Amino acid sequence: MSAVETLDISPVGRVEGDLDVRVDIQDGVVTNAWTHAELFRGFEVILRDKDPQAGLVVTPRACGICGASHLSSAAWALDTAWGSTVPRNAILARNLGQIVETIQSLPRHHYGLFMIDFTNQNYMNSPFFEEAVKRYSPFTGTSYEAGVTISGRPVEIYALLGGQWPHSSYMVPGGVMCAPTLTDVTRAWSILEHFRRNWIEPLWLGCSMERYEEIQSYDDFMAWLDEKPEHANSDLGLYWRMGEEIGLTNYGRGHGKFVSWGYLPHEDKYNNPTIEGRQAAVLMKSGVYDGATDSHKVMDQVFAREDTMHAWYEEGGEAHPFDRTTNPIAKNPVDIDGKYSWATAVRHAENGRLEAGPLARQLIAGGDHGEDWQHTDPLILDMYRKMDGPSILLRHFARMHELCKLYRQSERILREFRLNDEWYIKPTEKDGQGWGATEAARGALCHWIDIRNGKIHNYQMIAPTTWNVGPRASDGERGPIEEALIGTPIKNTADPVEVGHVCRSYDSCLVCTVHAHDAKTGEELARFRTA
Amino acid sequence: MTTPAETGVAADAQSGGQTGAQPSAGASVAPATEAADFLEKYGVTPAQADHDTLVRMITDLLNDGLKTRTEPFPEDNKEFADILEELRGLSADQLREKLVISGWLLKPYGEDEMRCQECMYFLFHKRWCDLPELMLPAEPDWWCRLWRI
Amino acid sequence: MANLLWLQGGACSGNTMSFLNAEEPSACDLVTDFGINVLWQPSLGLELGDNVKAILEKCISGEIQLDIFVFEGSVVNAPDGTGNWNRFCGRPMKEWVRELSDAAQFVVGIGDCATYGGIPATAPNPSESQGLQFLKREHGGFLGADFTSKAGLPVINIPGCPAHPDWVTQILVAVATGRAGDLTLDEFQRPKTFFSSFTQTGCTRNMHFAYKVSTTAFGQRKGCLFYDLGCRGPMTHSPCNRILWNRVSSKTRAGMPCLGCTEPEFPFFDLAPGTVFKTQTMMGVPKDLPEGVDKKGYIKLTAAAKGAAPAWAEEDIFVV
Repeated sequence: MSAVETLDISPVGRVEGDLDVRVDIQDGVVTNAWTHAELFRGFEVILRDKDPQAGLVVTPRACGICGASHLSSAAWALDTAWGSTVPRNAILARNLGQIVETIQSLPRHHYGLFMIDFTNQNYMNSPFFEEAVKRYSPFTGTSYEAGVTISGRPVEIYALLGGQWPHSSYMVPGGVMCAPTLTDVTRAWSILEHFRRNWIEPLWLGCSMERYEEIQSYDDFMAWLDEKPEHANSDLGLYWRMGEEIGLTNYGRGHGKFVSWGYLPHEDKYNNPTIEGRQAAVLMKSGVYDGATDSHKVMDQVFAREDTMHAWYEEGGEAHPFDRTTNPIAKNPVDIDGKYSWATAVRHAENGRLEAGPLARQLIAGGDHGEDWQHTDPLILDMYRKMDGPSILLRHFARMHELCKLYRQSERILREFRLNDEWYIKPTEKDGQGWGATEAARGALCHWIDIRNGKIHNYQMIAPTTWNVGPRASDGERGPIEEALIGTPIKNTADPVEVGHVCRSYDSCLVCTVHAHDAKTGEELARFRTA
Repeated sequence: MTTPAETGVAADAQSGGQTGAQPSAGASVAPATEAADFLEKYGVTPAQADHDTLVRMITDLLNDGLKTRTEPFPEDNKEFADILEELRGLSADQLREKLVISGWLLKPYGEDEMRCQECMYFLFHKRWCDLPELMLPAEPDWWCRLWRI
Repeated sequence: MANLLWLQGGACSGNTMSFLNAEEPSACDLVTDFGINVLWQPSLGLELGDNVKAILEKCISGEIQLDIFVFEGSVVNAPDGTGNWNRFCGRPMKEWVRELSDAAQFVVGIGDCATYGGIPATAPNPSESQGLQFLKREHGGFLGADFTSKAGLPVINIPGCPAHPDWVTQILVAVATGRAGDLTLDEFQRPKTFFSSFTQTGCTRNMHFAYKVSTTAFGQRKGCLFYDLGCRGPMTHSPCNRILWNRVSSKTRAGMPCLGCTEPEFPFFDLAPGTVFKTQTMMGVPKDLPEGVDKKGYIKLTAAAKGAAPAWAEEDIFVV
């Protein structure tokens, strides 16, 4: 047995923001791992004592990638605090903004951030390597160029509603700012249609959306793959075949426990939003899925905990965000046995560390918990069971699988708009506590707001990457990405692309992770990276 | 709910904001006696009245000596919003309260002779106040303390 | 061929995301058609870890000629001026920024944070953020008021939260194709070609602005957003309504008030209670008047406009 080699990687690029990773490697395999989020801007410090609506301006700018998701959470948090009435058109318009942002994110992450690694020299002996280089080389690859360029189209629909993407604030308590006209709707239809005819069907799927939507099980998918060369050679087909060939089914497991807040409130079921009423009002259901027991249950915000044992705060054990008094330590040397990150460890009070993201959403969509009318989808859960649990391959595939469903949801919304009905009902501003949540492309996101004396007393955010990238919790349980890195084979320590695969399969977004766990005072904080 | 906007001018169902900004009937208790008084005198309540009837109701009330709160003039948008907040709790039948809270007058006000004619919310052709919390007929030489330019 | 390096400081990646929406030229066109060689970019770069560091060091030593250094995000100085809250490749990012700026032919600041400090610099500015050559309105910033890059220009600032992709790509192409000499910059070092006109220039609500018809609440189908909803379009310099966003619209067209995000004070009033989406008034008159208009003129203009307004101006105009 060879000695343990410690490798510090700074930065792991192509995750949004700065991520540093330390891994212990023995005999070419990762045996231990620590993840460190890197940038502190202090958004929650900035929000303190500001206008109650300041979150609508500031939080989309916490993250240029998930701005609609932050805006959506900020608006729903205010709605629950103020007791607004939200008209059905406004719910639909918010959902549409959320969906098109996610649809945008998909090709952008796939080509821009994820598939580039398939062109790494590590895989030069793969029979698929030549084709991967042709398609996925940065800027010049055929699919890269087509995919990255067309990724700008879906958010044109966002701009029709909110004026621009990123960084609009068109969702406000009581509804939305816009009142779309028929031409906005027809233009949105044609943008969707263009996206489908020029990318989804010819490049992404190699078949019609309708054919793809027939796939309901692992066996269906494998049959689809073999059915025609167009399927096997599509970007989705090539991903699967090359991913299997280069071993992406063999590592990146993680804890096998998952969380989703659920999202897309139903337009007729959440017009009088409350914190308690949300989970039974969302189309895409919330949940916790435990792979070990193969069991599902509904998720509730009361179970959220932030644990600071291994983060640079002096707060004792753990707290619910409403109860948290953030208290950073003055000096923060890196101590991997002690404190080593600004990110808190987010836990479920009963289930511990959970993975957030598309894989989580789709495993939860396979459960029979929740309301009868909520969306269900058996495919990814079936694959999970047949493929012996999570892997890099399945985690990223779950993301790819969401595309057609979200496309159908946006079509439905365009049909459901009643253009002559109201889009906004002016609410009365008042003090109170609120909670807003959604699912960003990369997973569970939510905001808590506490308004006192007409201004923000406390604003807390937990972003998807906070769930995934946090350090160890008090009981020593690793963060999901830390756990997923265990067992990763490293071929070349000078270019550990396998670590990149694991991290990028989570579509980590560090820009909104660290400011979500910031200082009370903002002044004594310091920030570190390892080694 | 029948609103002055629907019976008077600009039946504007397309404009969600306007509809939404209407005082909700349930937000406060409309004095039934007051609505009954209007009903007896004009055959309709303010919520049901057309433009001309509303003008008659307003002018009658003020000519009969209704004292309205012309002072203090809201110094900034915060004080302005506080007055709007008070108005938002009223039902469409609470015409008297609307006039009192807004400091309604049938003549220009102050040494600058401020009047509806120059106010932001006055729609000249409709002879109408477009402020969602008021939504009442107005005349160029009238005034209230929600005057904005 | 021009070598471009793009780094992020106190950033949200919003300018990178916006940049990827570019159409003419697209981000890929920049590489394939205009010969811009992207040495590294946080969201797009191939390399990780020490291999990124090697690129930065070669740029600084001159082994790689750094033609364009693009910086997105604020320069983070906290805590206590050390910059340790934003370290990158083993050092405070601010040290990389200093050395790379000195090595570069052109330095381009993209977005508000790089230009003025932006949202992170909002009071109490917990990260002690600065822009490259400004902190809000104050000249100087991180690099100092006298800084010029090797080509003799100060930082070229492309503010906006985010900057519009076409503002970015057009400047990059101009520099890469040798037309930097045509660039003229204003007092905030913004290219005049984009930032001399107003956000209001080209706004579809201009007629309602002229006839003094207000959008009194969100979701309406008429009116101008300046009078009640706090729109800063008449006081903000940007081409948002000349070069549309995502090809299709702009905030003011969609019904969202301009927040003035290309100006140094953004976010205005430090987001104090009562300032968000509300026009600030004093005795019934807006505190901030359209640029160059005084209160007396404004009142005269309003009286005349009200008197002259046609009947159609009182009706919905953006109808279904």
